[in-house]
Amino acid sequence: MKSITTDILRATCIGLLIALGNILPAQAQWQTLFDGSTLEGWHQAGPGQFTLEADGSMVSRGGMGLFYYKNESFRDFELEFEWMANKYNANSGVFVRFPETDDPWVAVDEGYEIQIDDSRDPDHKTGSIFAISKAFRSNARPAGEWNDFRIRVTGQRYEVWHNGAKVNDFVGNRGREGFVGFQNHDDGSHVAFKNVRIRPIEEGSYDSLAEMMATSETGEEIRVLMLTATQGFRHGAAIEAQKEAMIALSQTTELRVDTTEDVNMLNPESLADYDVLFLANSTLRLPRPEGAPSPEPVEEMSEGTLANYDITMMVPDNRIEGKVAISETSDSLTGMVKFNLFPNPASLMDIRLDADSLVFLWDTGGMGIGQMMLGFEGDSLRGMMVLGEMQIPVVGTESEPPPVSYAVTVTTPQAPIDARLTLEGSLSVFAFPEGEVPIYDLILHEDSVRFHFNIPEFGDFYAAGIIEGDNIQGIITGGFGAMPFSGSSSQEDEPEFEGETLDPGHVDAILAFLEQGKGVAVAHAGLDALYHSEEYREMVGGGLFDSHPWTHSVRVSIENSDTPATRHLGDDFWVHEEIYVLDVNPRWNSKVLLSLDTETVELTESVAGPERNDYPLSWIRTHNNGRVFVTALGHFADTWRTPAFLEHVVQGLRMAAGRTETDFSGHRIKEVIADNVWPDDIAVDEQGDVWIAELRGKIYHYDAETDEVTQIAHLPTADPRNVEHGLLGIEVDPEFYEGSPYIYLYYTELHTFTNTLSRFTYADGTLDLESEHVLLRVPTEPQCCHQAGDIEWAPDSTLYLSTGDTGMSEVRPGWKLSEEQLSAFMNTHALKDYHWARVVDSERSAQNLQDLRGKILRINRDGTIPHDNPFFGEQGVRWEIYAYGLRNPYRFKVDPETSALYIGVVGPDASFDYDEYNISLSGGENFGWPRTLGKLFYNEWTPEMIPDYVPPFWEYDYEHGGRSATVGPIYRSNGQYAFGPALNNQIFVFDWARRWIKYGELVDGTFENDQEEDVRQNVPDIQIPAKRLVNIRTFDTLGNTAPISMEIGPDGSIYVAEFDGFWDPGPNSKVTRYRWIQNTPASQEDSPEN
Amino acid sequence: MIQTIRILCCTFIFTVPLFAHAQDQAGTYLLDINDLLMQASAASQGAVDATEIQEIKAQAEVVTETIWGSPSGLLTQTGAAATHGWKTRWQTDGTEFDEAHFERHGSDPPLIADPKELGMMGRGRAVIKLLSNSENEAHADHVMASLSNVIGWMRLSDGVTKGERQPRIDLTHVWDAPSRFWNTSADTGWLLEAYAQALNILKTDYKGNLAMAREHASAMASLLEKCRTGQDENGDGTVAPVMMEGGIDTAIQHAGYLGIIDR
Repeated sequence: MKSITTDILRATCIGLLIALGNILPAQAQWQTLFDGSTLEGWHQAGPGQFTLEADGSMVSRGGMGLFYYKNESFRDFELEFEWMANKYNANSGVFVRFPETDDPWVAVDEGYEIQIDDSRDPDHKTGSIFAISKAFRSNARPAGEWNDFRIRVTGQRYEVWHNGAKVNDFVGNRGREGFVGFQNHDDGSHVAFKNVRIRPIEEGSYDSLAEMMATSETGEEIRVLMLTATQGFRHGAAIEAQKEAMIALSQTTELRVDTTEDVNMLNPESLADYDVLFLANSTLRLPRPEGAPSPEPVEEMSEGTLANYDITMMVPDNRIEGKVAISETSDSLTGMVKFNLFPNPASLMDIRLDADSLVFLWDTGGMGIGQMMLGFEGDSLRGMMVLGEMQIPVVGTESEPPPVSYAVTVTTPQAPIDARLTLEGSLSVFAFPEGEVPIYDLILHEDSVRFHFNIPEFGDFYAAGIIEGDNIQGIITGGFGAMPFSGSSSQEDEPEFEGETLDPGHVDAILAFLEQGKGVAVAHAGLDALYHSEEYREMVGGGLFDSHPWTHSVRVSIENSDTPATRHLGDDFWVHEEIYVLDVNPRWNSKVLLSLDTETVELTESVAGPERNDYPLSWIRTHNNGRVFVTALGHFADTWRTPAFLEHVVQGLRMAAGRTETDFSGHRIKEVIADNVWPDDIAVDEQGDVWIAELRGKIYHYDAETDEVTQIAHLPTADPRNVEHGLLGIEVDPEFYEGSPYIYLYYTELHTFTNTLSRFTYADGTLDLESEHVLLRVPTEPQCCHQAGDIEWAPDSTLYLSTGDTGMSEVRPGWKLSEEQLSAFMNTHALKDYHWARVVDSERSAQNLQDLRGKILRINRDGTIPHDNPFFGEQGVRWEIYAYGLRNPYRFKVDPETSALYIGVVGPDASFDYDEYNISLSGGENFGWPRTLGKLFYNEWTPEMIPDYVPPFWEYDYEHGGRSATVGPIYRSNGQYAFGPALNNQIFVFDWARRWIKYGELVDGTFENDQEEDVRQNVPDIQIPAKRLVNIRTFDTLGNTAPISMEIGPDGSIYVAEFDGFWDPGPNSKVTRYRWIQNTPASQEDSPEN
Repeated sequence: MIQTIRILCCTFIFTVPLFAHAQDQAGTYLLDINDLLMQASAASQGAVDATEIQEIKAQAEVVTETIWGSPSGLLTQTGAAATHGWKTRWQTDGTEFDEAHFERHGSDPPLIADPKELGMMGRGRAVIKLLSNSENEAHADHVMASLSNVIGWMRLSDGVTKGERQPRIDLTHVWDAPSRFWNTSADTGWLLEAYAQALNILKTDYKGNLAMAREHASAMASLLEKCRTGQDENGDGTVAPVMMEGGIDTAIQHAGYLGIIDR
């Protein structure tokens, strides 16, 4: 085995070659080919021409022709120029390295064309190597603006930068020397060029990717078996490209790659000859036995959740019948198309669907990219399919989607109820044993559903669910609190194709291979394999292919740059790829190297549904004593011809072979530490002991050393029912083990019904209730609700407390208001409607600075007021107030590093209202309730009318059902069980009603108001610079419990209080702990939670 | 129906046998408020002139007692101020509301039934109740508006939540006021500004900084002065008996017009 130094040096050198080639020293002076004054030296081949313009440019006219600089041919060079198109779909390009000719097609066939036309499909879009290598991304400026192109040609490598961004990196095999010129494509395309210059540079030393990847020294061989068994129909072009690359690499590196499609090589004897098994785009299906019935349709065409169309292509003397299915995820459109002449459905790209038209691209397979452009005419569609030079008429009609019906069980507080949920547009119903009710506001996505229904006796209910295959689960919120439901569709499973899958012996062979300390590498479609094998699923990280909603250019984030497979990639890169969404997130079983930048698939803010929004694209893990490297990229053949990607794969193989010093990290575990408790709030001390408070007054202590839970007190407190009184918050003194053995409780006094923050002494296994020292009293009221009551320590050992507004601003006052009065109110404020009573009730608490409710309060440990509180010294204001304008800040957290406060606020229940999350950076902020909440400003209120107003950093409405926004800790830990870079500096948020725990990061952004639900006659457009939460990902979604409190332990463990029941304990309530377990030999015994 | 009638009928402990008697009682309470306010102002001035921090705190404690009728207890201990819970001081026993409600909160009568045990706040709310059915609406409204600026624009009402009829204590009485009203402290009462200031003084560890404590006492005195004089919110040169303007002086003046006090 070579030394680590050698590995790092080699990777660094290759990385430099790949990523930093553009800064290599210049080899010669720039030579101007066109300076705007003359076309001398340029030669027109073929139809059309270029004209010299007064602005110093030359412009393409007519075509298709070639206009090239004939004075000199070039070998290796850098070419720079500017170009500008007259329209977005103007077509042109630059040809390089073609021989002298008067036939423009010679340049096409013998040189390479770097395309200009941003309207085209990915193979022909600006920056692509025409029909050969897709551009990583589009970086074109609008028509009428100048663009920069820089093209670097060294050896057989062609690199393209467009407006400063690298958009192509391709290794070719055509001529090493030739001319450069521009294309005049057609009459309507006028593309201007100027400032054309070239600089010959030192010749590249390689003619192929394999040469680029060559190692300068001969290391110990890595014997790789590359298995590409796919049943012969999938990813054929990519597989050929990867075979070509791997076989070539066998000549220039220590890799010795054998390729096979024979899955019977998966046996101990055959595998004994190899160090790494490479499942490269292999779906691991067996070949169809000779004479066996046709497996067609090989891939089922599933119905779209948004729309389905029957279409017919009118080719001469024939009609090609097909179906188009469009689905809507919460973030974008996806779709499939299938024609009777093609065996398999194809994914749609760049779908645009509006009231007038449907347009999409699709890969026909052998015939290139087709563009379908259809217009709606009543119930019919009519349009054109453009395929190359062909334009085929198409007609169609909308087809009715079949209803989806689920048999579900709803867990009510009394008993489980069997019900049937039928989702069929406006005919959707929820059928209970007592009868069925119609479903309203149905929004059905591929992976989620939400709707609303009403049961007259009990009122409105809101449901939000997750759909995974045939299964559905979710939460119904309404008058009974949160009721889980789950079930499955009544459709029968399709029988699997006989003989399609491997037998257990094959999988056993893979596992045995790993057990010998060897490696498995998996690329792309290797994740679309062996769904029946839990062992295989676990090996690859827990998740297998679920969908590929995005096939376009995306940005890939480098999460862990300290591995050979990522070291050369910088912070990120762009690639045009098919992005896999897996059914289980591998993050928590693996060390993630690459992940999708969700912004590039338009997932940015407000992802408050059940989606995980976390898409790892490459990861490593250990399994069965071996090493596993997975990359989900590699769908397209040209990806395998990209140096950066190939380096990623080659290094992945080396890592899998164990030839690099790579930390394969570990996995997450979740364990129950207390299951006989009904936690409302928890506190974790410096030793990892957990202090647990129950709503009805019981207090428990979890001893981390003995792993035992003991009840230490039962505090008398008010009945919580309907008013939300009770024991609300718990904290432990930060110097608990240094002479201050105090527990702090916030609870409702039994007889006065005053909410009280008190300190109690813990001694001898008991919390001494007689030792109470009352630090603060907050008046409450007899009506429901909003007590809040979280307690948190500041880094300076002052104590924060959150208080609710105790108000019922949603409830109309007892006195009656006439229509005339309401009409006058609307007229006064120029309203077209009104938000009821927002200005009435909570003004006296949340906006009242003489009152402690609806606030974050801050006091010293002895109850006195800190002199640095934001209102200290201000006349007539309670100086305990730290921030105000809060409705029900049930949970908040203090950043131990910055002292910033993060506050989750539960909002009102009207269908248009929001929950929100706030940040207090320095104190004194007014978060606006009851004048605003979330994105909605009530009635006449604007930000300017609200003193000290600070908008939320995140907010969401009822789109995904009931909600209870609560905030968790800011994760900062390098302790024994810390989760590392994936979570460090991330803010946890969780939702009691929706049962998810998510995390994200704060960035500087812009807050925008909700104009749709605004009731003003003239709706303002409000935009305020604000902190915003982005990259929100799911940490976990709980099943039959709801997260209600969350803490970080001193060792990086994450503790979650899981609530079940409502006013009384439910059977599933518990306290759980998540830990990241490093892959030490001892930890191999810990099994991943999945 | 019976429940509704119970709610609509007088549910307050302060029953008023005769309307004239009610008006006289209101006048008496108003004069008491005036006297208590003078006591509070004198105490706050004493605090301004004090030479010891503890003396300033003692005067602040006098202010708290005149406002809510009971001391905070913070002269002798740190931590929370003693305060009446709503159940202790509110003038309802809760039985008029949903059974489930008083099952939780109990149906015993409140410990304090006499407004005179509740300082200026208790008397002020009693006055509002006593005058709310006055025959002389204009003058009564002027008294109540001025008094409401001092003690807050609050009423007792009720509402239904989670299927349960519950009281709404201190529900804001006005709902369509201009936004500037909500941005003042008149909506919840100027007197509570003075109360907040007194508690702040009592809860601050001045660490020997007498000047700071005096400054805070001075602010308390000016807040009490505002309760007396009211303020010229609209800048027209007068303090009118309307929302955000009138104070106790104005309330007394218009109580005289109403004929319930002789001043």
